[in-house]
Amino acid sequence: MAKWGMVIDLDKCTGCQACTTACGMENNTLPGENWQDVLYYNVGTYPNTTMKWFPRPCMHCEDPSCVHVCPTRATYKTEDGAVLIDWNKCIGCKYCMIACPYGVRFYTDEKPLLQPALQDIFPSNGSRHTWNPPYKSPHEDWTKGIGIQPRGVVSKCTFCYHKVSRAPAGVADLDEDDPNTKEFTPACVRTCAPKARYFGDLDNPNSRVNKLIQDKRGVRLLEHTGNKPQVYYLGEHGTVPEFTRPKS
Amino acid sequence: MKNRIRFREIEANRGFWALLALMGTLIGLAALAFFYLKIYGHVATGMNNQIVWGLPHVFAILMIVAASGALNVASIGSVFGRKVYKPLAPLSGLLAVTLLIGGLAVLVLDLGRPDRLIIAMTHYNFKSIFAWNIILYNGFLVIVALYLWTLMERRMNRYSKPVGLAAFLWRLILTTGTGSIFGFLVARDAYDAAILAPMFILMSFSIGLAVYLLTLMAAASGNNRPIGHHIMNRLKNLLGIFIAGVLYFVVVFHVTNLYSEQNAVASRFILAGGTEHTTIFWLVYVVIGSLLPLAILFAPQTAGNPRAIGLASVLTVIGGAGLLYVIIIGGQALPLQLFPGMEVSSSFADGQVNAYTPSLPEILLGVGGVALFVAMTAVAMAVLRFLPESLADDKLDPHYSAESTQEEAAAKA
Repeated sequence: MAKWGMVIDLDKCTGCQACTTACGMENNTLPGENWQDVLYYNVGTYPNTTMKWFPRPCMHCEDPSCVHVCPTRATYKTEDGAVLIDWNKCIGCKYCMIACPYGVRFYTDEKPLLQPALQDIFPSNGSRHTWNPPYKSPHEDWTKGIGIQPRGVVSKCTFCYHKVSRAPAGVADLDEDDPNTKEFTPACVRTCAPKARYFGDLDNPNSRVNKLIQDKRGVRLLEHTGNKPQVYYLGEHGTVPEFTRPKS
Repeated sequence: MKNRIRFREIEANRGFWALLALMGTLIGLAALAFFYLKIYGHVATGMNNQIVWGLPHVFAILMIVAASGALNVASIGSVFGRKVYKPLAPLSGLLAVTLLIGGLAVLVLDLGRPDRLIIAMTHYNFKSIFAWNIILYNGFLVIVALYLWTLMERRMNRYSKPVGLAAFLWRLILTTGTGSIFGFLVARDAYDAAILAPMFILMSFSIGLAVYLLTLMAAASGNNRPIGHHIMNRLKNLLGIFIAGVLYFVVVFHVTNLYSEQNAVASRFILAGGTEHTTIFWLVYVVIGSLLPLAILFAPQTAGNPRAIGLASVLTVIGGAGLLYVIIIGGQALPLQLFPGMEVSSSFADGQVNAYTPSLPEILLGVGGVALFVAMTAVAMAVLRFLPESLADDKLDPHYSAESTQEEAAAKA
C-alpha cells in the first residue's frame, strides 16, 4: 500500500493560485472554502522587505491531531495516508478545526465570502447539500468527504482521493506528464503551471517525491507540533527559516 | 435528644410562578433561536471559520464548570465530614445536575448536527478528550443522582460518604477533562498548557459556589427562611479563597507563558493586545470578577452582609464568564502562528486578529440554557425536599449555640 505525499517546490511556485482555483472546481467548494490556499508573508524590515508565498493544502499528517480529537472518529486516516472526513459521522463539533495547527479545515455553512452568494444563485432546493452548482463532481462519497458538502459538517482537502485511490497499484508517482497516471493525479498538481508540485508514494524509495525530499532537503511545516505532515516543501530561497529539517 | 433537621419543599407562591413564567419565555426564545440557526446555519451567528466556538460555548462551559463546583458544599459535608454542611448538601447535588443539564443542552444545540447525538454516543474515539468528556458528563449525572438518593433517603444515608467520595473524585476528573479540551491543543498558542486543567478545577470551585450561594439566598428569601450568619460567613470565606485561588492560577498561567517566546505571543495578546479581550480580561475578570468581590467579601464594612455576599457572588459569576470568554474566544482570535514573527495574509484570513460579535440567536441560546437550569432547579425544589425548613445556625449546626455561648463568655472574660 502506498503512502501518498506531496512535495511543493517553493522556488518554482509563482503564487498564481491556479491550484486554488482547480481545487475549487474539482471539489465544488464555495468561495472562501479554499481547501487549497496560498499564503503571502513578508520577510525583512522596511525598507528591505520581500514578499513570499506559500501554498497550503491539508498536510495529511502522519500523526494528525484532527484525527485524535474527533469524538466520533468521523475524521480518520486511510491506509494509503490520506486524512478524510466521513460526513455521515461528523456531528459538527468543530473540535478538529481548533486542533489543526495548519488552519486547513472549513465549516460548510459559513458566511458567503462574495456577493451575490453562490448559495443563493444555485440554491440547494431542500437537498442536504450546501448548494447546487451547475457542474457536480461525479464521484460523490460522503464517507470520504468527497462531493458537494452537506450542511453542518466540516470539510477539507482530500488529496483528490476520488482520483488518487483509483491509481494503479505499485505506481511510484502520479504525474500529469505520464499518460498512465495523469487521470489519477490531484487537481492542484495537474494544474500547476510551473510544475512546482509533485505527488507520489513516500514509502517507495524510487519515487520522485522521495528523491526530491532527500536531494533538496525537503522540510515540513510546524514540525514541533508532532503532526508529521506528508506535504514537504523545497526551495532555498522560499524556505521559511523557522522550518526544521527532517533527521533522515 | 438529637436535633433532627426537617426538610421542606419551597412554596409555589406568586414569585415562584412569575419566575417560571419568565424562564419559560426565555426557554421558548432559545428554542426559536435554535430552529432559526438550524434553518439558516452558522451564517446567522457571529462565528466563522476562525472563531468556531462562540458565545454558546462560553455559556455551556460556564454551566458545566459551575455544575462541578456546585457540589462543593455536599463534598465538604460528606467527604470531609463537616456536619454543618450536610443539611445543605441536597441542594448542592441538585444544582450540580441542573447546571450540567443546562450546559449540555446549549452545547448539544450548538453542534452543527445535533440530530446526530446518537453517533456521539455510539462511536467513541477514546483518544479524544471530547469523547472522554461525553462519558464524564453522563457518568457525573448518574453518580450525583445516586448521591442525592443517599442524601435524601434516610435508609441510604450510611452510603452517602462512599458515594460522595466517588462524586468528589469524578467531578475533579470531569473538570480536568473540560480544562484539558483546551490544555491538550498544541496547535493553539493560547491553549496548550497543562495548568489549564487545575485552573478549571479552581474556576469550578469559585463559580459553582457562587451559583450555590445565589440559589440558596434566593430560595431562602422567597420562602422566609433566613440563613444563619455563621454558615453564611463560612461559605463566603470559602468563596473568597476560591476566587483568590483562580486569580493565582491565572497569574501563574500567564507568567509561565511569558517565559517562552512561542506562548508569550498569546499572553501578550490577551494582556496587552488592545483588543476587546484585553478589556474583558482586565476589567471584567480581574477588577469586576476578582478584586471587587474579594474586597466585598473581606472588607470589614461589608463582610457578613448577606446582600454584599450576594453581590460578590454575582460578580464572581460575571468574572468567571469573562475569563472563559477570553480563554475560549480570545484563544481563537489570535491567528495561527504559521510563520512566527512574520506578517501573513491569505484569502482565509491568515495572520489577522479574528473578529467575533455574538449574534442575538447565540445570546438567546445561551441565556435559554441558564433559564433551563433555573426552571429545573425551581421545579425540583418545589416538588422535592431539598432545603431544610430552617437555615438558622442553631438548626443547621447543633454545636453552634454552645460554641457561640463559650465564645461570648471568653470575649467577656
